[in-house]
Amino acid sequence: MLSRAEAVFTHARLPFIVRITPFTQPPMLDAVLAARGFVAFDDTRVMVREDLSGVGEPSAPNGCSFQMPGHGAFAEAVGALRGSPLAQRQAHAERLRASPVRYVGVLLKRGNEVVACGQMALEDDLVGLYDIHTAPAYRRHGLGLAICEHLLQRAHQLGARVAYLQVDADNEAARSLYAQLEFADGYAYHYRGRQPPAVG
Amino acid sequence: MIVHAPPAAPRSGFAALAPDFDARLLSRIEDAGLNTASRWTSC
Repeated sequence: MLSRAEAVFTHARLPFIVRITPFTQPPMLDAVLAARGFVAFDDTRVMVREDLSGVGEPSAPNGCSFQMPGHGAFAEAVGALRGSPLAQRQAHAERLRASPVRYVGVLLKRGNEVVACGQMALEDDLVGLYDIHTAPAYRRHGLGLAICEHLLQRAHQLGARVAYLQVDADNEAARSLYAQLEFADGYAYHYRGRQPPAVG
Repeated sequence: MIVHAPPAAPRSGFAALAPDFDARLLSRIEDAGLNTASRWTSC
């Protein structure tokens, strides 16, 4: 079955990449892929906060203000903070425009400068945090905390009960921030492919 | 206040769900992430 699936992807000139989670069936799939030479990459933790009722009223840090731009402006700001090329920024904007779930993108601005960003995706009582990013010059000033609290508080107002996010396992700074926000590890996932995808 | 994150679970823990959470909730979260928002970048 694996060989047939891989052949389909190869024929379509697409990389054959498998996502491995605790829900993967059969459970030995990860070991089977490893034995066939598939390498693991993107070791990721899904962190969860079950109760949003305690999220306080966030305030923008001194000299900063929260703004909610449209799809294009938000994707452009995220791309600028991440240093993404134009094509990725445009693709991001298109994904947001066509989003099947409600999303809210927020920028934290100091004057005209975007210093941090974040967005949430709402699905029933679940809210996922994505695109949390702070400009390098403004890190360790509580801006990521402020933008996450802003998103969580708004999500709670809109009916969310449980929040989740995905973070690189070795991103200790981000994991510390999310632990401060009462997120804890729920499970892990990673991918396996013939080779890791090129970055950028 | 400085809060240190707990160390990430080792690779050997991939098959496990954190016992502090309901497995059905984590399954819903996986579905939500896969079906909708995983098309966006992670944090």
